[in-house]
Amino acid sequence: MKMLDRIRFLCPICHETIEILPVKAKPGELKSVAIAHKDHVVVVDFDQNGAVRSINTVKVSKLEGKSNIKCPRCGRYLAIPENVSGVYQAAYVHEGHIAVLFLVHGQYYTVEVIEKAREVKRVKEKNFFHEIEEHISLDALADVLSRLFVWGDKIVYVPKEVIEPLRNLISKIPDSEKIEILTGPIKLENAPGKDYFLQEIKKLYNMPNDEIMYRFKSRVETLYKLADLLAALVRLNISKSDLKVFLDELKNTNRYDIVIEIVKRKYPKLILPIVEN
Amino acid sequence: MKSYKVIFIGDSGVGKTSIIRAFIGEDVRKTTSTIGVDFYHFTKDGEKIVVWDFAGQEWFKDIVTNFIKGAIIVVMVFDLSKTSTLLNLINYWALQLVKQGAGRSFVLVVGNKADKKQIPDNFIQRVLDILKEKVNFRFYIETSALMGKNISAVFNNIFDLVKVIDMVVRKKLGGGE
Repeated sequence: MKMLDRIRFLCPICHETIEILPVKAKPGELKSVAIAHKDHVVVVDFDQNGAVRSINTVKVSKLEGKSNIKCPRCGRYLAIPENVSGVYQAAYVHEGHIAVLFLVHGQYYTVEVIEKAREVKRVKEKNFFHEIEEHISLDALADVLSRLFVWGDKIVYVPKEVIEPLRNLISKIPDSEKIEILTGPIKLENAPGKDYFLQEIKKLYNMPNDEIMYRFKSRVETLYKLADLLAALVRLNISKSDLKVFLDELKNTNRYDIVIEIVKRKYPKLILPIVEN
Repeated sequence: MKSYKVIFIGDSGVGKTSIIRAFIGEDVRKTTSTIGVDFYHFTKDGEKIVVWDFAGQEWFKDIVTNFIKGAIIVVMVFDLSKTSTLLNLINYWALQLVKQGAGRSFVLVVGNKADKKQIPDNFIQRVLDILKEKVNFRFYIETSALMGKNISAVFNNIFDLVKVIDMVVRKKLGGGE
């Protein structure tokens, strides 16, 4: 799996955009890096492929003074509040690294040292969407994507200039090489799922190409996985009430209609039980 | 044959899938992030279990945690080299168990990545003490999916618990010994 050359996301606390260089962990491990904001620290865990596995936040300690706990890296004291009960967790921002203290009942503790992440500055570039939009509307692109990944079309016609950026956009999706993208007038079908893809395109619109490819692949894989999951749940014969919980949860996302369409296409013999509201 | 629902939960990257893959004999180094839920079927001595391997990633949690309900055994996995994954067992996963009506399910806690262990034993013990107040805790075991350490023990414990549950169920139904 090719690693992205940068990772961009919003800070879960202050919603500031964070853009960092990814790191690779050793096989079977996670590698953490941290970004210090004013009163909190964002900890990002990467796996062996350089993919983000989790993003957590920890409050920064504003306490000063001595304690019997020291940073294992630089030896600075990690001040703790008096009379701590239960679980206490705090980050201490030091030069080049961040110490995260975990304390239980004010007595039992462990300290983890996390390297600071290498933040990158954004360089604006023309991406696939910008290139495609010069020739067809984003609405039309969403329609094409929906036909390919929801309806399962294997041939699609687009203007000549759109072929290459579209091919690249979908290149990370398994079996996409089997899709034929040919030159021809684009035909709008208003395929189910078009609205979903349009929303997703808008979210990814200003991102760099490598990130678009990665995120778009992840979106499509998630749709297929949800469809597989729904099919598996029906086959496992889970109760209608449990199935309803899943479907209700799915309805809260913008993927419900698409997932149902994919299930119908991928599992034509599967009988979806009627779940009443 | 009745099959029992066993779920593996815990933060992303702690090694839930790796433990299952190690038990099956697959290469754990190739494990990537789980999307949603994966299912595995196992049978031993006439007892059948379906293991639900949940994704630990934040964006999928809302959907998958709905399926905690109905689990007879819950395997809570954390990473012995990452303290936050242990604390999340009490701060997030235990709360989900209770919220989804699985507060009485048997809980097996697995500290994975024993080969990279960083968290002191007394710290783990205190956190487990807190966890015991919240869920129906049964066993704690340390594993290394990478080294194959204690992997069979996890599943032996699961099947032992299933046997006990099966016996209780049979007795209740009047079909036991």
